[in-house]
Amino acid sequence: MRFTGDLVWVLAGASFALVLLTITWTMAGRFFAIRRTRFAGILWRRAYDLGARLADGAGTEGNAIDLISLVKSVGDPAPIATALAAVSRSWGDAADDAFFEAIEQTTLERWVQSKLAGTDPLAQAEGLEYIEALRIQPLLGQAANFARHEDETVSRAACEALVVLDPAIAIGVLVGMIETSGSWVLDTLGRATNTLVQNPGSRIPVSRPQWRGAPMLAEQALKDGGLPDPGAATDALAVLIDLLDDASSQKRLAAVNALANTIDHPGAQIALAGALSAPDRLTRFAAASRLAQTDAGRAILRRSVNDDSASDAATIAAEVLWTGVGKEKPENKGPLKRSEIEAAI
Amino acid sequence: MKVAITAFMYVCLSFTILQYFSMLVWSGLSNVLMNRARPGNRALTLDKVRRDQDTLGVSIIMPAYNEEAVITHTVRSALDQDYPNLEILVVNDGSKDNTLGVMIDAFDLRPFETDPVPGPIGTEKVTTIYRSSTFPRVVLVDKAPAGAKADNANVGINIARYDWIVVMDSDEFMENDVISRCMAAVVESPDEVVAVGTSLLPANDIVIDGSTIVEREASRNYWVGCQLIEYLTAFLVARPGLAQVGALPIISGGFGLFRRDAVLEVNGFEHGHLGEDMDMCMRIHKAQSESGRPYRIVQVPEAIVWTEFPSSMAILQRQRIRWHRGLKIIIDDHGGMIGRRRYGTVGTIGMGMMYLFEWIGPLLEALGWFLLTGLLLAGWIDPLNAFAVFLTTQLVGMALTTIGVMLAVTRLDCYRGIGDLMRLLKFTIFVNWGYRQLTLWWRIRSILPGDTSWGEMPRAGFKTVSTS
Repeated sequence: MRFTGDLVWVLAGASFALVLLTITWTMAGRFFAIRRTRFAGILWRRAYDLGARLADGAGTEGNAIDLISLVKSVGDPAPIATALAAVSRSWGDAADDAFFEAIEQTTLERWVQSKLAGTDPLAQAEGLEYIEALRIQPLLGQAANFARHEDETVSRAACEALVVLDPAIAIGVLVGMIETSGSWVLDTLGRATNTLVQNPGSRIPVSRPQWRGAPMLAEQALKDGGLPDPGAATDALAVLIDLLDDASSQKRLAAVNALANTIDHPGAQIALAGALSAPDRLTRFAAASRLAQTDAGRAILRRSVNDDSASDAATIAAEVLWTGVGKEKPENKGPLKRSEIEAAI
Repeated sequence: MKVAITAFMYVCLSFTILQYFSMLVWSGLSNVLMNRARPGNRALTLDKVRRDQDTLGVSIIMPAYNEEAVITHTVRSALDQDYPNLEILVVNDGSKDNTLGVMIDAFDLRPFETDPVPGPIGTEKVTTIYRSSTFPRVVLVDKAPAGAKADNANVGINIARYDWIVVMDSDEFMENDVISRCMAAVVESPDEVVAVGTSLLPANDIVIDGSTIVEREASRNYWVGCQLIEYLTAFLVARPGLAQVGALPIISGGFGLFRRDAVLEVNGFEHGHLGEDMDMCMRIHKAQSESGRPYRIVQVPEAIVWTEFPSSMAILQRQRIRWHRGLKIIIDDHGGMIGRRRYGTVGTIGMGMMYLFEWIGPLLEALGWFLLTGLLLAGWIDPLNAFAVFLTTQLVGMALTTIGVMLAVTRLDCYRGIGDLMRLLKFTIFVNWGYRQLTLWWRIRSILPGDTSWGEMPRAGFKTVSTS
């Protein structure tokens, strides 16, 4: 019993020490948490103000210098990078070039690279998100290298970054991933194609027969400092059209969504019009539903429903859209004119 | 004989110490994992989710029965979410008070559909669906009373138009970033995540102004304060770690985000189940594991939902007895998963820990205290030694609960005031010296037959700027 008695007192003493330790840790933790939050808040505010001024085009060289030295002055520039990302996303394409030029001159690129160089996939994904948000063009090649990462979070973040930095490269990479990755690839492909359709001068990096090996080709091309064969957005659309007949319903649906995202392109319009008569119900109704959401799509539906062999999806969509008082009528031809819309309002 | 009984007493109490100690180790582990993973907490993902108008839609389902005091505040907190793509479905289970009238007045609800077509899950009949003319995202479903939250939730699941659903209580107030944080965890791996849990904290001591929380303080009420410490330990210490290794056995009934098809696959919530939230989570685990699909159930501790805690002993006692009876049913229903390779970590760690620490643990602890008292009275054990054993269990328990407090003040944006911290530390003492023994007694009592009904919990309502 002596042994037991000694042992329980040793345990009680150890437990008491443990309680003191956790209380001390709690007090210190609170102190540092408050300090860290305040400091991060101040940094964020300052970086946001400087970034907003530069993005507005009202910034001066002094603002850019301030931003550069602000990044240099702190060990962890995460709050600054987050604030600049917020500015970049808020201003979007309207952000002045001076904003991105200032970012390029900071050490943020090196900081992001250190995240990519680690082995933690979540840190890598975070790094790729910063590349996307801050549009760090020099890291395009590194982002392309991560597109086929085994961790889906990293792979997705890399593809998203590519869509922003260079949609042409993104298409090349994404097309090569269609067979092996989830439906998100098609969504991202749709967005990349849309961006490319809006900028017809852009190129895609590889021709269609080479798409299976696209990621490696794109990667190699980037390493070599040039882009492989030029192509057209139509080629990317052709892949999406192929996928309308895919065995997987998830991929068919994603292809419809991706085509709907590029509805301004005649190829996408033809494909979706064709999808209204697809053999499976899901594709037909998905196509009708997405077509109903845009002017161009509604024009296609109008024409489809006037056809004798109109599909069930087109007929139902037309009924939903154009029956009832004050709604559009199917006999209307083409999208509504501005004067008609104004009269309706 | 004497030695054998004394040894058995030591075994029982050592088990309790071991239980706390393993939780302490677990808290360290879960923190390391939490720091690495940060589900739903990556600043840029969160920012993106908030801005993306085409993001995944979420239907918030609020089953309501006699909630006139709180329902409009809860709906307003949902309307104030910074997530762009939401619908809010209040399911009125034939409330006897003026819940329906209050909702109609506050949101100008108009009948939209009567006698709708029944959905995929069998429920009581829906009589009328109302839609708000001022807030098109607000829908109220009036239905025949079923007297069960499960039926109301199932009605909401049937009617929900989006692929992601939140099932929450209607006496809760959400921080305005809750849905964004949960969905940020979803968009990180949308093909795998099937459910997301959040932290629940007491709404008894928050003060709201319209749809904004203007004051958050740690409670002064003994019962609420002790529960707060328990919740902090559960939501910040245990669950994130369990979720990280794929072994989270419960998404709180108070608030849970689910992928709708995963819930439909298990045919919704089960009627009349005392532990319907844990049952739902276990059935999702089972269905997903058996299908062989990779899946994840995630806990986002930084997403905070405020809910009214029982503030008197009688109500708390009834709740705890009901919970423990629910646990017994869960163990009966899903005990077969324990140790089965097919069910992975949720079978071994999740259900295993629950069985060992939540079911066997209290029995051994109660037996240990009973024997310690008996041996002390019989003079078979030295009073000083008995005190040392008692002291050790209490202190290890205190260390564990203090870690919950530490995580609250460092990771969450609330309770950082010095007054709050002192109150929390005070409750870490109270919770171990008296409260825990009382709840232990309630757990033992739950094994005996008795009333299994939910009973009614009177709502105090939220404190608002004008009332406080």
